[in-house]
Amino acid sequence: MKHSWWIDPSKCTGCRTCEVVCSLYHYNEVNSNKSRIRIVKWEDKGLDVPVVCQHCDRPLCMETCPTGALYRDGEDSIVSYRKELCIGCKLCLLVCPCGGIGLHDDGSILKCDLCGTTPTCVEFCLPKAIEFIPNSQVGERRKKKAAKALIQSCELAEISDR
Amino acid sequence: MTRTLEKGLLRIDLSSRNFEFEPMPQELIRKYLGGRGINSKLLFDITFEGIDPLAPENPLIVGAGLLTGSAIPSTSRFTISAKSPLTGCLGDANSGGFFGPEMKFARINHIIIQGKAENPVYVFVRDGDLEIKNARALWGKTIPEADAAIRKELGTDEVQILLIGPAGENLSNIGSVMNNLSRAAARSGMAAVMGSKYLKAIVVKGNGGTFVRDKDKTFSLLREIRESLFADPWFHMHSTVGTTGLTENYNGLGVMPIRNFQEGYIKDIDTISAEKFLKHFAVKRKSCFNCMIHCSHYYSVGSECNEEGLEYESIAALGPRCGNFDFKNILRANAICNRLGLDTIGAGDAIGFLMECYQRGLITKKQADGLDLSWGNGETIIRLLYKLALREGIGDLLADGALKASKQIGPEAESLAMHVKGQAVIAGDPRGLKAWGLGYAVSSRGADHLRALPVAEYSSTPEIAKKLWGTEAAADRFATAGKGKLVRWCEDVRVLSDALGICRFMTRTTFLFPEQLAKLIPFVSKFEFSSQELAKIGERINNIERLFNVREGFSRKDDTLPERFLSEPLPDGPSKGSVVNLDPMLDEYYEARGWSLENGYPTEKKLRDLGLEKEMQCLKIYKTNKNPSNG
Repeated sequence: MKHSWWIDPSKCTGCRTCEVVCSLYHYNEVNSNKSRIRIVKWEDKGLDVPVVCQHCDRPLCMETCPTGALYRDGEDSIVSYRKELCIGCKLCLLVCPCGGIGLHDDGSILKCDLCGTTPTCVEFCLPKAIEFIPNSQVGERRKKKAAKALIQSCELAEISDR
Repeated sequence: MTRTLEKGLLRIDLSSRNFEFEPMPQELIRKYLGGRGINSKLLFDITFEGIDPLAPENPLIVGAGLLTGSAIPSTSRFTISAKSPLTGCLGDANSGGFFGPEMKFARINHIIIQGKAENPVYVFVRDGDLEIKNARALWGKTIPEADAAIRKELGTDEVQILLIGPAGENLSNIGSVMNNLSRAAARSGMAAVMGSKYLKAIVVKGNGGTFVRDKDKTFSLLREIRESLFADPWFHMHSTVGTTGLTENYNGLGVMPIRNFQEGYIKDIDTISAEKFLKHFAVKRKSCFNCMIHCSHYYSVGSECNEEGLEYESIAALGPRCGNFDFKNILRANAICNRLGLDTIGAGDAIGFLMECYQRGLITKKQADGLDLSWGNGETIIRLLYKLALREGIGDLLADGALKASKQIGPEAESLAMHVKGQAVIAGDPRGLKAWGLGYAVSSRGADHLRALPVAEYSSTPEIAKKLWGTEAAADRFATAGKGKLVRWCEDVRVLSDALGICRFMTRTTFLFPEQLAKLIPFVSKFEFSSQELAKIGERINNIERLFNVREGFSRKDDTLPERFLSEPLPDGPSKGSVVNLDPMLDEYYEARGWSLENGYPTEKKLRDLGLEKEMQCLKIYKTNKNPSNG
């Protein structure tokens, strides 16, 4: 994959609009239970964490799938799902370390397909808690974020030194 | 795909433990939309004159709006209605969060709860099924404690919980019903009605979805809405600081309720400004379901106090109203109100009232359990919140709001209770906001700003005012002319957002007009309404609420304001010297409404015009041919 998710829980307000537009895009209704992205919340701690398939470079779900229902067209391609081959064993759900796979009412799985090319949830996430960016930018962003945190902690340390 | 409406009405009788899912009458939707509209109609039909608000027969009605939980942004709202123990008139409280949408996902539009359980219970509603569960172990628990215990017992976090805290259990008339820990349906004492039924919580889990007519067109609509919001100047404030930004605005207008409305302006407001909140306390932004605005925050005041929320109303009530300008204390008090299930406005009002009684020597330190009632004593405020929710000592006196407390303190105290019909006036001094004053006086649930929310008074142009309300003066906050027409107009459009379940921040300025709302409805509902039909529905709901209050004995004499606003000029600030001249505004309002000038009753002609003949027959005054004059 040449693009990656950039998910920042500190920006997520927990509005669940991503769930609304995901289910709307894929199933023509507003139904969080059918959304492929979910917001996991701890309201008492103010935590909201978007959880979605990461389209891993080495997808454990695909390696575990006994029927080939999960597959990729090539190394650069997303991890896709063929419902007709799925036997409903749910092993993919268990092995995915990212929690990226959900379960549909009918026993099939719910898994992100990036809405083809551009994820709809990204377009409607106004606080920009979910972004989908070229891999080339990921390293730079991470470093900047860490550097900012470092500066802040230095400043805090200085204040407490006084 | 869509299974809504077939069995959208859930009736629960806690006495017999029976329940039934019934079809949602389509005619009700056509005439009242949903949410507050249908709630008010159901309340009118189910109750009778003089019903005791805390008796088992008084229904607690929880209603999601017609568009609640839909793809349209900011449709998280729902309304809780009952006859109010606080005011004795129609009571309701509105909230956002996630509970309303979850009702829709469980295919429920309205829940009517009557009767009284033998012991504390909570009800758990899942698609088409319901369990009444024992809540003895939850009784006495705070909001976060009970919320966590329910989630643990049910073994899931994917439920939405509407519940009361100790204040509601102890039948405090200023308790709030909470959802999502910090979202409050706080006004009118709905928590006491819930407490009187021994009902600790309503838990909902839905597996269904809500209807969308055409996916692609809906996505186009969402993009349009987004652009409209971005173009609204108020969007910027709401989406960054939320209503905390109003602290400076309202102080700037000189309408801050300082020391129980003795003053309206303070020079140095920076100690409690939005900027200070963002810089020192806000941790991150928070939001209700499917919102584009994200006005809320999670905030921290050190390790012992972390909470979501903070509104201007809460800052002003627990702060300046009590002479308190210590932001940390205000934030702690706000969190404590949420945990105990207390209305921040009602509680701040009661405490501010008590402090003024102390200032004027009407109550002694000894009578106040030895508490120092000096203005701005933050520790006293916090102690009083607990005492009030637990009805302990002086708290028992305050637990039902300032008016009821004043009756026990003495006649001199009564004029210090800043209320209309027993409901505390909000943090906007009507001496500097005349239309707001009229709005408080005539609101069907007692002093309240959201019924009319006539922001046009200070944010509209003279040209628009002239076009819509007949005079440029309608946009002058000190003028009296035009305010009757303005408030009538505002009430009829504002009620539409309560009936549709859309947040005021979407409909405040951006989606204000019935034409705009009519356009939204068919995208996500099987119903269609013309803008004229919507306008009439808005008027109809306001009239049935008026009829409810008339049946309870309310009339023009009750549509008034505390004496302070009518005769004591504001001493300082940008509204200095001003008082409210209410009577001419009332006359203009009744005339615009088609109500009797003499007693404020809706005229027969108006009621017939709105298709309320049957409802009219329920009232003695219309049966005895003593018809109110045509104003």
